[in-house]
Amino acid sequence: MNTIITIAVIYLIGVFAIGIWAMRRTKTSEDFFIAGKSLGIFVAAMAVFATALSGFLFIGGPGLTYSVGMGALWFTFPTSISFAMAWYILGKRMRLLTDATGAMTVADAVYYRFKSRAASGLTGVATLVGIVVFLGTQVLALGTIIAYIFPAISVTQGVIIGMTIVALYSAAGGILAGTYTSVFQGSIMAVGSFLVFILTLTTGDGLTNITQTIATQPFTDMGTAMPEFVGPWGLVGPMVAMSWFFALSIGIVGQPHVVSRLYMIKDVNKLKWGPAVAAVPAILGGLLFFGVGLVMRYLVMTGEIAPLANPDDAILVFLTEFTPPVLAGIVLAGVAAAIMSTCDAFINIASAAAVRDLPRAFGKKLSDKKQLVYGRIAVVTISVITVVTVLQMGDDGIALLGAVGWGTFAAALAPVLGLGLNWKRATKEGAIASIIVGLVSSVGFEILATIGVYELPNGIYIGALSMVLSLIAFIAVSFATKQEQLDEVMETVMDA
Amino acid sequence: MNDQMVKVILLAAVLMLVALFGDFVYLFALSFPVLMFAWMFLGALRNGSIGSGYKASLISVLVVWLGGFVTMNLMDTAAEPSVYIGGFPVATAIMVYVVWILPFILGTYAYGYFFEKDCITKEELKTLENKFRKES
Repeated sequence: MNTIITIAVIYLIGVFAIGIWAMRRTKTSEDFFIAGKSLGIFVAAMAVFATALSGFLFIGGPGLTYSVGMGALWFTFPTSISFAMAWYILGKRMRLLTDATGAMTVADAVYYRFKSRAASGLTGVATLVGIVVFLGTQVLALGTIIAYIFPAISVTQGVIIGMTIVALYSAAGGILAGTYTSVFQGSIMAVGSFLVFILTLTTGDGLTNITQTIATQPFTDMGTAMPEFVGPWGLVGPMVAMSWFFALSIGIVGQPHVVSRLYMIKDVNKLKWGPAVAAVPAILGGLLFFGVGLVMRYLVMTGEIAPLANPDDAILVFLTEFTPPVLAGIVLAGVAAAIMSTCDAFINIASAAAVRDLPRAFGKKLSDKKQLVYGRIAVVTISVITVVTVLQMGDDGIALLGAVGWGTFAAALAPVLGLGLNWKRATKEGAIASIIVGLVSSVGFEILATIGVYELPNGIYIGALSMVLSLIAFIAVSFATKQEQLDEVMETVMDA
Repeated sequence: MNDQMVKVILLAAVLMLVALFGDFVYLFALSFPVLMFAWMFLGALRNGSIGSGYKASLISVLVVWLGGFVTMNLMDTAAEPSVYIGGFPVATAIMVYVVWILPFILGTYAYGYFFEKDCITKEELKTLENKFRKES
């Protein structure tokens, strides 16, 4: 454990050093919110990768694979193409839009596209709601990892310590600090994932041996042999698995913490290899996702370990029991890194929504200096609110929030951004309808299911359904309402 | 062309809705890849048309998705597998090596490869930047 603690401490010192360096370079709100449009291909792509893949990849992913088999992988398989989707659909147009208008947030893009304070304000609200529901799960996971690395610390203390670290470097260096720590963190995640995957193959005597054993032997904790566990849908079935793939892939277009990075790229030409660079480490993360999940199931079936009481312990048990301490330390730092990089991006975007998007919805605009000062205050405020929320709601409440995180962003924001910037016939009424339908259906169905009033049939994934409903609303209302003339700048951006 | 692609997206979305509530697996396997393809195609359109490289790339991805998802659904995954390819039963090998990895080459790598031809040329970018500079 000493080795793991040493590596974790070195890692945290590295994060602080980057925060201090970034603070010295952050002088304007453009620096604070969009890194002064200074990012090269590698930095931008690694930041996108690290931001997009949260702690779920490392903790929830292996646990889900252990529970439901290969079907869990439809959560991570979108990564080979989803970054390209964001680039094809939004990359060039969002990057040109910030050159043409100075847009810094997703709500900015919606405002310049539709010339509607209501649509832009609703986007800001959807962004804040999505972030609140998503950030809580990340912070709780961060507290859990810190408590695991430092046994003397409780999860509650871990939540407070973790959030304090993220808030300090985010308030000091804004998105610039978040971005460069993400590059550092992303590199750790990618290397650690690959090494752990190799180790899982060694532990299970090769992939074929692992899958063949699972496919042919009775499950010790389920009583019967289940070849479908290593089939493409696992135990979840094709409809649910395909829904995950749909919502997690094209849904990236609505993730503000991912697409706002497109503003930060130095120039449009730097978009070129971005998705390819981001996809490689994401694919390596996918190897860990299924490698650990499958090998833990294999080890249970061969009697080498007892069935896991909590599937989410799969990665922690594997690291503790079957991994050299140095590698375990690197991977645990990678897990914390994955969570922290997502947290800092969320906090920065929430801060931008608070000091830019919402004031504009009420017809106000803060000066650049005030945006920078209030942005830093917002980072601290949002961090405190998040910690209080997490500690108040507990595990069950946070699990509920986490379930609607990605889906809320996808449903509320993907159509308005992804179609809005590519389809001139789209109207502000369509945009407003789409955001409302996306938000209400995503959060509403989840609440109805949780309180036992109504559950969707056929195991329908709420995120997928909500995005479909939001898309239909956007297109139908746009066709039903009068098209407005675009201004020359927007016309140029959309034709490019 | 953009309007047509949006109509394809709308149609595919309606079919997905029917598939979800009717539990029609094959309808879902056919409609959601079409929706994702049409949306990417819409993003790749420039003033109503698309470059040949991006067009070929996106159509290839669509073929992989449609072929992959329909094939996997047709296979009996509850039977004990007798053949393993690359460490996985056949249907799972299709999932991993075709549906997961192949689109990286066909769609993600192709985005960079055809970028200067089909996304934006350096000259076009310079013209746009000058225009934006003048207007601001």
